[in-house]
Amino acid sequence: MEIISSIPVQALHGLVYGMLLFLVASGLTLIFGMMGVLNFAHGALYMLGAYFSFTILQWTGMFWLSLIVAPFLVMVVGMVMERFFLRKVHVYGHAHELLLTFGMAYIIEELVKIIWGNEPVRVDLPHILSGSVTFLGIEYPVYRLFILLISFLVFILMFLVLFKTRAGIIVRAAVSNKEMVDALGFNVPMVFLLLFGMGAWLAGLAGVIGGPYRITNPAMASTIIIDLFVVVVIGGLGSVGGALIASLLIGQLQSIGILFLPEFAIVFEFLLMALVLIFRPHGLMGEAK
Amino acid sequence: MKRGRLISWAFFLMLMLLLVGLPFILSEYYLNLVITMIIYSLFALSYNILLGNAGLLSFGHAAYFGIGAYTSVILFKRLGVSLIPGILAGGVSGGLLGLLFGAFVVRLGGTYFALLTLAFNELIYAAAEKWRGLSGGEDGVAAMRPAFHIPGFGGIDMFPTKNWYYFVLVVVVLSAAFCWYFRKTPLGRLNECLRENEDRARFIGYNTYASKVVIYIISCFFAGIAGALAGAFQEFVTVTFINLDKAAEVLIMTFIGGSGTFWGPILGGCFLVYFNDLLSSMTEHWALIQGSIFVLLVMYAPQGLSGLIIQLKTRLCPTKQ
Amino acid sequence: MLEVKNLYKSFGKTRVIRGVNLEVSKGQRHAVIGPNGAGKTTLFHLFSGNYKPERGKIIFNGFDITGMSPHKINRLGLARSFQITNVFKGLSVLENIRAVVLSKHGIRFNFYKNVERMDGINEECLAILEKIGLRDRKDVLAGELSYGEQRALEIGLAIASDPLLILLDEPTAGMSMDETREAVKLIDEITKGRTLIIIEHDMDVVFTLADIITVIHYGEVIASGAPESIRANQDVKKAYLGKD
Repeated sequence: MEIISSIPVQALHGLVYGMLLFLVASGLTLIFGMMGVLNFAHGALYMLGAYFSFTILQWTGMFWLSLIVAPFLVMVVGMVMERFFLRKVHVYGHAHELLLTFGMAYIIEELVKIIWGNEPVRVDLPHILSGSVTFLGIEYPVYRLFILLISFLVFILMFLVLFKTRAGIIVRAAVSNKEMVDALGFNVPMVFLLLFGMGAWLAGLAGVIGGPYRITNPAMASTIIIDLFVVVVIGGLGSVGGALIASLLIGQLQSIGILFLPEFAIVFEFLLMALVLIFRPHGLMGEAK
Repeated sequence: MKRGRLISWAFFLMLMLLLVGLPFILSEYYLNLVITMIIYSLFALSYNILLGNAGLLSFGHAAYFGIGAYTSVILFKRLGVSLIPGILAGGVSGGLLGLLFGAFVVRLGGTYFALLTLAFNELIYAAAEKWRGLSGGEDGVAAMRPAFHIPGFGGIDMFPTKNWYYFVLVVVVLSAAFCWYFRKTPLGRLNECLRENEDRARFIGYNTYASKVVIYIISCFFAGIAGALAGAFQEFVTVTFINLDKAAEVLIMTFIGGSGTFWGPILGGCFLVYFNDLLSSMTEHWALIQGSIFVLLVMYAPQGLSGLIIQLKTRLCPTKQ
Repeated sequence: MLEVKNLYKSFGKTRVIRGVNLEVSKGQRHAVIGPNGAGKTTLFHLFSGNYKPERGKIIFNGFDITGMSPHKINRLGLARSFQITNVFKGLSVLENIRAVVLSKHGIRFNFYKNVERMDGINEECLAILEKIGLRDRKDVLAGELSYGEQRALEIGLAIASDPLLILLDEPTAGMSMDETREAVKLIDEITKGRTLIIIEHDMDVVFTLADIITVIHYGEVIASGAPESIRANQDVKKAYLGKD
């Protein structure tokens, strides 16, 4: 009985985490789709968002400021990564790019440990976002609803940008066929740089709002990168729509799965990932190349 | 050409002499460290059999290392199996798992290959973690190192570090010799072809899928041997033998050593183990230094340390071909 | 030797090969010509197993090889060369040929014999290298050969398996007049006693070598026959739009 009544709450938890995952995964999948690089450091960018926010909060006490500033700081980190590191390795091929992002993830994680310590840090939320509300007979933390709100707003924003603006169309075109975009006269390196920056911005934002929810600690990066990989594989490398579906799926799998089959929820995730890679490598909605 | 070979043999002989003499020079602590270096060299060598395959980056080689470790330690503990069969069983278990996973993994390339190996590694890790009855879960399994039985001769106790060192040395040198010789065999040459141009290999009559699976199994077998040795060495195995950190470790050391030569991975394995030990006693932040070196190598010396050494050699003594 | 019946192949919605019928008899030298994009290389891909036909049959030496995988077809005695040089660049010339010879002898999974000690195999390799004129270059990395040498190696890889049928895809592409002449001499020699299908743009080569010429246009056969009849054929002239 208890389990049944907690299903809606768990489903809501799943939705929250799913949307958070989507924020980060969307950037990751676009970067892979366009640049062919699976950015191992994406989880680290997410983590940086959380930690930058923590520090800004410590200095200014203003959560809303960190919400705005921290993602841009992460965006800068991302762009530096692309421009000064990734680009150099591009000539050696995808394997090297993968290795580089892997190395960068490692370094960022260690730097975080050095600067902020090994222990989790506490992010104090503004009063307005703490506590819980009751609706439809469920008592639910305000903050998680806030996460849902922000992710949803960003999702709408992303949709508008990708489908309604010229820049967005260029990005989508470049994901499909970057040679063509190059031939059409667009500065592909610049597009890469901006896309990487946008992916980093999204990851950073997710980190800012996700940190207080999922604990801000140095292990954040490695924890989330695994889920991210599962999501982009299932959703299809390069597909934002696929990333959305897969993120929501994984979110539900983890939260509801925990209720019924706690031992197997995590395993099922990898099983699914393996099955997709074996039978349909381009995922739910990726392009078969 | 002949002079080059003579120099190589001389170098090899000197190295062997040095290795044989080490227990008399080094302290217990450093001898243990060298044992670790030797075991991980084999692990890296096994990994390079794959990496030599068109840059197929496996992110899941720890699965085979780990299963080798678990198999040998569990056999030692539960069934009282003696040393050599136990180590061999570790290798065989690695090879069998390699067959199971390899059948799927070798169909893919590039990033997809990396991701599937990662998924499989996670699955095995989860199995090791959850299947407490067998693996002891987070607590792991402990077993004493069995003696080395020579039939009709009695047993050599493997507790003294010196004895264990020689045993490991022999096993690894034999394995490394096989790996070295492998490159001269038809299958080893095919491995090179597959790296160069898998497509063409098909058109000249090779069933590239089957060949890749066989090569994968060989690689996993030796990873299993290395794991079994590691398990017997520590007399203890836990999930750390089979997790992603371990998978990352072997990737890093093979790459740092350089995948382009035979001895690159050996160099990488030794270097990393020694370096970690050295750094961790010097500073807390050794992981950062290790990561930075890795990134620098990826960016400026993609052929790893062995590549750098070769470049240095050609610059210092240019040979006329 | 090769019978192609009603072959169709599409990529997505584009039909590239439309109902090709072809017959190549044993020992024949058959040239396939046509404007760029006509589908000639696609035909080779279909014959060698790289692509699977949508419809139709391919019979090679009595065996139905429709949809068979490339390595199986090769083992039955069909070898091909490629338009864009497709050798093992990081391996030496000798290694390149050795790979084929080992495969021919069925030595594919052996992991205990040293190839350098296999005298029979090595002799065979050297003989082949002699034929293609690359014997002195045997230890050079394939990637470091000159263009003409690479094209020779390309042909070498095709004949090293001692095939019954050999498919050469534009073997003289990018060659100078002298190189072309050498190449034609080489092809003439090494295809003695074998069946040859050759795709070519250089008409001199075609008319020198070919017994039968088939002209492909838009994935269809528009003419097939002896060289003189093709030379006079109006449809062929139209297809080439006045090109030689």
